[in-house]
Amino acid sequence: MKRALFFGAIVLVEAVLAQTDLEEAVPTVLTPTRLRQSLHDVPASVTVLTADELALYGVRSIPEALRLVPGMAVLRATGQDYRIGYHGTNLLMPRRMNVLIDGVSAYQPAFARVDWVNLPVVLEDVDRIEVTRGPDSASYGPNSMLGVVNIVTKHPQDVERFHSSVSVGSEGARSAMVRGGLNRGGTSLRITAGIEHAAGYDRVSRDPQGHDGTRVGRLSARAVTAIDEATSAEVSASFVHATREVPFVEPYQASYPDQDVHEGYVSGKLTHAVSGQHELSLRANLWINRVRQAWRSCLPTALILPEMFAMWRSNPAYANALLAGQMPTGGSAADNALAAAAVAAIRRLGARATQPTCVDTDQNLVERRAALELEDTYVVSERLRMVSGIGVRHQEGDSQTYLGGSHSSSIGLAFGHAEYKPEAWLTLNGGVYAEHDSLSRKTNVSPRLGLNVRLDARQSVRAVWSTGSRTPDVQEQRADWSYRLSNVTPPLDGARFYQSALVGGGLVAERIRSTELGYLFILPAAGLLFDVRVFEDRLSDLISEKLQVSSFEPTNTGSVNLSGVELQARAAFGTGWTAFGNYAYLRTHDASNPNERTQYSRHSGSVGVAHRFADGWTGSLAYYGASGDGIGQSGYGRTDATIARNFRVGGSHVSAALTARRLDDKSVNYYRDVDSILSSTYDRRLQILGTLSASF
Amino acid sequence: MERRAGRRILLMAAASAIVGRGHAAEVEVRVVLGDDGPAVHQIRESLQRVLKNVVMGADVLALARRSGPGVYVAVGPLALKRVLDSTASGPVLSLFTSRATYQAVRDATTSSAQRAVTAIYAEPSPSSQFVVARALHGGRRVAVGVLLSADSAARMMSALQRTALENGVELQVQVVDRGDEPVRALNRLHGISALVVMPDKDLYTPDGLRNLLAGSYRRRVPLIGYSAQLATAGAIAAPYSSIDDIVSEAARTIPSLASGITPVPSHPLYWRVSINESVARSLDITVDDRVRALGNFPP
Repeated sequence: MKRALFFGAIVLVEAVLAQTDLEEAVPTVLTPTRLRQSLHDVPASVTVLTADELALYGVRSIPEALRLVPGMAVLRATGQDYRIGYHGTNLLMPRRMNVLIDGVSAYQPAFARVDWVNLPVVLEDVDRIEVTRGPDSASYGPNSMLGVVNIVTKHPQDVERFHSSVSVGSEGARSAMVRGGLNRGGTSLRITAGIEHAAGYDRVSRDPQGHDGTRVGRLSARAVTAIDEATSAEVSASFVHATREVPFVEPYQASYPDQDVHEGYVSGKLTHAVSGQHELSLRANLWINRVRQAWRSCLPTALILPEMFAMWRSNPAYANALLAGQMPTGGSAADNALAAAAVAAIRRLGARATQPTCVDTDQNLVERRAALELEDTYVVSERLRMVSGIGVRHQEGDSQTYLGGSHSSSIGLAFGHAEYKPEAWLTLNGGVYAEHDSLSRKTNVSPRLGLNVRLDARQSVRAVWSTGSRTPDVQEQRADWSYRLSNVTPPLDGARFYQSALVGGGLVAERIRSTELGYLFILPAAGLLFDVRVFEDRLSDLISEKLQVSSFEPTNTGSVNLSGVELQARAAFGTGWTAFGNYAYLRTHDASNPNERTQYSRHSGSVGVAHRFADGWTGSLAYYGASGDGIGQSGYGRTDATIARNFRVGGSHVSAALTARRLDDKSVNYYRDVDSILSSTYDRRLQILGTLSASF
Repeated sequence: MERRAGRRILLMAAASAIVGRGHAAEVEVRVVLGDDGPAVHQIRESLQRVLKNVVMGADVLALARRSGPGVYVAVGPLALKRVLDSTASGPVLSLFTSRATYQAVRDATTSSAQRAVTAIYAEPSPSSQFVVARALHGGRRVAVGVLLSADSAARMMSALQRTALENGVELQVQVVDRGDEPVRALNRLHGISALVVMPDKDLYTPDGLRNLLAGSYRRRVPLIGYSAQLATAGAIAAPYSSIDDIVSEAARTIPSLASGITPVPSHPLYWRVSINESVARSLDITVDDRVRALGNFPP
């Protein structure tokens, strides 16, 4: 009775305010500025992978999730080395696709790569992965040349108060994570800690023991707070410590060149709704990546003579000829003098010249990036919506080995995008991104135009013309690559590994021009989504050369053309049945450098079906395949079967899942260099992974 | 829920047949209002337009002192409590009060047990919400999620399951413990095509509703609300009853009450749909004219 009276009192109080009892004041949450574009209006092909879908199909890593994206080339070269790129192309250094985590780029700016294995995000924190297939520099800037992978993490309000998960599997796969969620007043907070270990392959080309495992620890937090009705602030931070086993790279290494990685970022975003139609956001982030990689090598003493280092600097061909026991000719007088000095030094060594001298060396590096960006979203009317912004970015690489010190670049950027609907069935998208880079002293402009036509309520066609670019990284522009040696045994004054690379810049951005025709069909009655894309991409000004200390001659002379068709489909049928299918047909042609054909599959795709049974059971079956038509590249095929059960234990919600994976082939082959194809092999085709999670 | 509505129509028809219009017209309709406000003005105008022999006021005692039989119509929970607390005799029809609030007010008023009291609830029936959820997905059978407090679950679960079965939806109910947040409970609803929200003061605060709207949108799960205001706030759609819908049904219920037949309290018979076209477009959910025309309209 007391409770009913108390409730009645509450009712009376509310009744003063709510005459009809249902008029609680709920302000408009989904204002025009917060609504995403309909897929029918987006000037691109987008694949969305949800957390539910990844769990349903037993996907346990972000790199593996990308096999669900049509046209995405995924190669696990070694346990800690993923080569991933939309449409592949150059396997040696995939660097033409941007990866964002909640809008913060995970693309390492100094050394042009994405570190897939130690991305600073735990898989259980991922809400969805949105992949824009095609150039999206107009929205996300350079390095979004072939595509963009946008990893969106779970909003702190959406997570349980407590969640933990443990996974154990074959190939030494073990992981555990724990997460807490807290809401206090207008602030919600999510903190996650996780650790992951994987043994990698059982054998790799350069090491019969494999030695390509990883151990990664992550700590991340995300907090969102409502400052007032119109203003919110968000802060994210993530820290990763990873130990990566690296197999021997060259025959002189006496210890493994394993990597110890510390990486972290802090990001802040302040959003203010000027009105329901106008929103401003200010974002700042700081990203630091530190890699410690040191090893001991024992190599012929002649290779570490300071005279040989000087010889190589002046004329690498002369140095190689001397080491081959030949007397080089055709160089300058300075080359000849250096050659004479090198020959004298070798003679002074006598027999020791060919005897090993052991040295310590490293490939340590630190990369930093700081960025500040202001974005303005203005919904002028139901027909016109605009997003624009300006920003600055400063990025720095610090490495004695790669850069001979530190180099930095500063970038100023501006972007604008408009969506205009002159008619309900017609959407015009226009956008441009421009940035000026202090290293190249050039301004890159990436425009995009899109036309979307709704044929009816369920289907639309689109035509998109877009451009994109990839800015050369700090190392490509300012490499001063040489190996300093220490702990030389037996001692040798001035010991320095003879090979080095020195460049003075002058590179320009790689470019892509893309033309796309697309068709989208969404039929709610069948839970069906079907999308097809036909495209023609022309890549130019490519830096296609393999960049290594023995040969570091980047140019912008590369080019390749890509064309093809991609299909993706999702369906929900019956009660509890879902299915997906993706297929990509890719033609790569007119490659000016064979390196642009090292990661390429003419046919690739995936297909899966899942069912939610009664009593919390789910089951799924999926197949992933790629024909592997690149130089030295093998095909890939894998069948996954997953069964899971969700149930309650007391006040907790528990989930148990078991995934069985069967590889079509235990080995993967991939290109390393001319006449050098590497291979990584598992002992068994069948892999098992079990996961147990609990939350309340 | 729909069976009750059907039964109510028969009772009303029977009452009209037995009593005849003339007798019903002799019964005075005494409308008790809560406080003044724009919504009450609209309700007052609609009542005056539709009903005959109507008197209105906030003072129950003044209305009770009037001679002759009368049927009391309480507009809103405050008015309902005033009527039930008063010494006024005569049957009572509650309007514009939610089911939960109506029950709470009845429970708090010991004298109401002896009186003829019924209600047309403010919120739409779960059946209409399921109809809308299914229509938004082309009429196919879909999985629909519902969050309930423990008390609501105890009261409504079996009826909800029956209604879901009748409407061809697969129902997933998540009971949200006291102190837990509804938006977090979404994690335990898997594979749902829509989230149906029902008024539940044990579960939803304005902040909680706001978070739920944002959270379900983040998950791309359309939310089916229970009022036009929720559709404006961000629910993709909501069945609701307009003031005229409720008053039209009240005009048919009052003769039953006057004749001594007390219909079972129930959700509104007449309803229509409010659609948030922007949210629907953003979620790539097709809303055609069939969906917009959903409802049960007064003759």
